[in-house]
Amino acid sequence: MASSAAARRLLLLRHRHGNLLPKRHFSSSSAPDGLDDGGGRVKIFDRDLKRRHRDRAAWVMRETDGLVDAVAENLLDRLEDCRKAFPSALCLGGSAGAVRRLLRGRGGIERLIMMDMSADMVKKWRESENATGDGPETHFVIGDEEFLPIKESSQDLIMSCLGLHWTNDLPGAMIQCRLALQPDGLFLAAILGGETLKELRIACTVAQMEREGGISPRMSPLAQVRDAGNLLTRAGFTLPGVDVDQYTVRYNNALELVEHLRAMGETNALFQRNPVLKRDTALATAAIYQSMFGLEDGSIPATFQVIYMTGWREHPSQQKAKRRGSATISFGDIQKQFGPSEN
Amino acid sequence: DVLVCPLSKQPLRYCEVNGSLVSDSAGVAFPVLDGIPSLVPKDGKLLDDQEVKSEQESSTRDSSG
Repeated sequence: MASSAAARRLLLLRHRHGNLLPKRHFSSSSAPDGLDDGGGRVKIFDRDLKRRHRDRAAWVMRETDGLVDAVAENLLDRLEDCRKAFPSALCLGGSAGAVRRLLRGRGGIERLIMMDMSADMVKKWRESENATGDGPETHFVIGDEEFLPIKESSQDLIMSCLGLHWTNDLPGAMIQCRLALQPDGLFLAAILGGETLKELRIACTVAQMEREGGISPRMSPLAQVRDAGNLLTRAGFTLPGVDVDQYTVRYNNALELVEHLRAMGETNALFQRNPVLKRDTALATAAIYQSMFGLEDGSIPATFQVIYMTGWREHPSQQKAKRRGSATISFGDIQKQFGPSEN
Repeated sequence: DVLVCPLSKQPLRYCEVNGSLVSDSAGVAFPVLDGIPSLVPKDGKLLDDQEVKSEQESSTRDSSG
């Protein structure tokens, strides 16, 4: 347990002072995107590499994925809590395929646009769509969440299932989503939270310290729960709602876990990643994972923390706090009328 | 139509000459891959002045995307 605590402190240090990492563990990344706005924006993720990950995921993706389906099901369940219909909807990247498959008429969607940055993924969705004739009228677009190609005030609903945590400019992506919504339109998103794959992170850090004498980023920085509400407010959404769920998936071994991540298109896309993983370090990681977190039956658990975000575009009919000083009844009067009696 | 240029957010027009979606405000043409519009900024190709002129002369219609 002491080594676990030490690993956690190192992780915190790494998150805060990434530039202090030993230089020999950094690799020269590909040229940054020529379309970069410049300024002080930090580019954390290699979007071109993530696109290639998505291309590969389109080919190795499992037909049904228990974890992805559970998250998509939870996201769609929120539509049943709304008393209005959303005729036009946009479904962004990540696990949009699962969302489409599990929609089953919820939300009253009549026209659906499905968008991903990977052409292969979009084509795969279209094949699945052609296989089933029912459901809403569906259109397909290849696009980037950070540069949303959707007209302003055109959608009733925008959903994103496990995709936005790979954006460099998450607030910017969410602002664009809000602008694409009609007034009183709904934004629904599920992103991976900071506790995701904590076991793998710890095991990998310990293994690298033992074998290589230093650490390099092996896992992406992920949003913390307390950040999600700020993100919604900062993007201009009203009535923000955030809640968290945690899923534990069990694997027979660490290799199976890595294969699952690859099938989901969730492998490392950091600019500052070390592209080489030594076999020695990989084997040590698997051994440490097993010894620190392995279960009685020999399988290993992996944690996936999912943050669900709900936000609405502003509309006059929405409830909001009244202006300060506009009260007509005082709390003192209420206290006198309903307070505890003397006897 | 709900599709716009990902960079300028202005409407697109379909160019039948080379089968692409053109954003006049940004001077960029986006490809249509197998019937699916590709509106990722990196996929866009800058239009040179001559292309812009020739394409404006050809018949155009709104994107059906």
